[in-house]
Amino acid sequence: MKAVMNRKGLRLVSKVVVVTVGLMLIAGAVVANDQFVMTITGTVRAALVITQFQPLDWSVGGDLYMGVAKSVGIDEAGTGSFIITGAANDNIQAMFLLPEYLWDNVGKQRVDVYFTSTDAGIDLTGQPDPTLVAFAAADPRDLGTLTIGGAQTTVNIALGGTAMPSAGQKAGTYTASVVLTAWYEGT
Amino acid sequence: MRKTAPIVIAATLALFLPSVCLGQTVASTESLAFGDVFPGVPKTVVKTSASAAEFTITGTADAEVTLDFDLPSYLSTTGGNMPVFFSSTDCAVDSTNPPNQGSPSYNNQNPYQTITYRLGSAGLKVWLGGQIVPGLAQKAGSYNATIRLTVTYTGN
Repeated sequence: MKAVMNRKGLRLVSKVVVVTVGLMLIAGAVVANDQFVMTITGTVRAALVITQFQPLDWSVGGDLYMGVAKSVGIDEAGTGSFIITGAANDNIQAMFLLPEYLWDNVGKQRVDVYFTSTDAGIDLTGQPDPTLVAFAAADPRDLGTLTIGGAQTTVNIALGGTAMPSAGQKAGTYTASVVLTAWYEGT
Repeated sequence: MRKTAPIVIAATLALFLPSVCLGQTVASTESLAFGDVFPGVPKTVVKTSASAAEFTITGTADAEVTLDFDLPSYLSTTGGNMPVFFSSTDCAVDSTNPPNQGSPSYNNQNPYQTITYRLGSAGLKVWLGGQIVPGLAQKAGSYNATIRLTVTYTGN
């Protein structure tokens, strides 16, 4: 009689253990966490690159003379020109930092220069050779929004100006820097 | 009676176990997409925009869960990296049904910290914005990175 009771008791205990462990496993499974991995994406457009095609040079076609102002237009041999390359059809802004003087090589003598509101030229056709384009006149102090054009992804910018050597200007070579900065509008 | 005895006893023992809940799942409805980016021009995707990351979490209604993001510092392409930032308010959570991305119930959360919230009848929606900062000479191309979101029941 005792042995029968023990066997029944053992069976009951073993069933309880099996069911309880089963419930514990279920509970363990459902409290496990869940993860998801997602992607962040972004496509960077081509960076802007500015190159000088040729410098603005008042001495092309003849040197400067004391007391005689000399102008270079936007479609002459001495016209300065820059090529900006970037991503096609994107809008950019460009800004000139223009000098007030040309200086001699020791920085003591100077020649006045000035730029009018039509002394810049813009070409948005995408033509990679600035000598082959017809520039539209623009204000070098306000070039506005420029759209990079065509399959060649270029903007051509020309710069003319006027140099005014004084009557007593010392002979020599005078230079200055023009800085052209360009950036994406981001739209 | 004898056959049901083990079940009754086991069920009694189970009272001391954690509450039995439905397993939760996380799915992504939308990726965080910055689209075209211009060198030198930072770009921000706000959490209320269609380009924000969107996660859908389902599970037991009214159960409390924690959300933990594993966020990248850079997007990468072959031979290039681009910094990506997440602000302390770039995450939003909503348990309403239907969810309201424009005015979420648990807004401006910090994705770098554990976020604790309760599932609604339709689960949870989680949105995440961010900002990338391409350099002036950033290499052109497609960049990507991964975000990992881990969701865990708290038992509360």
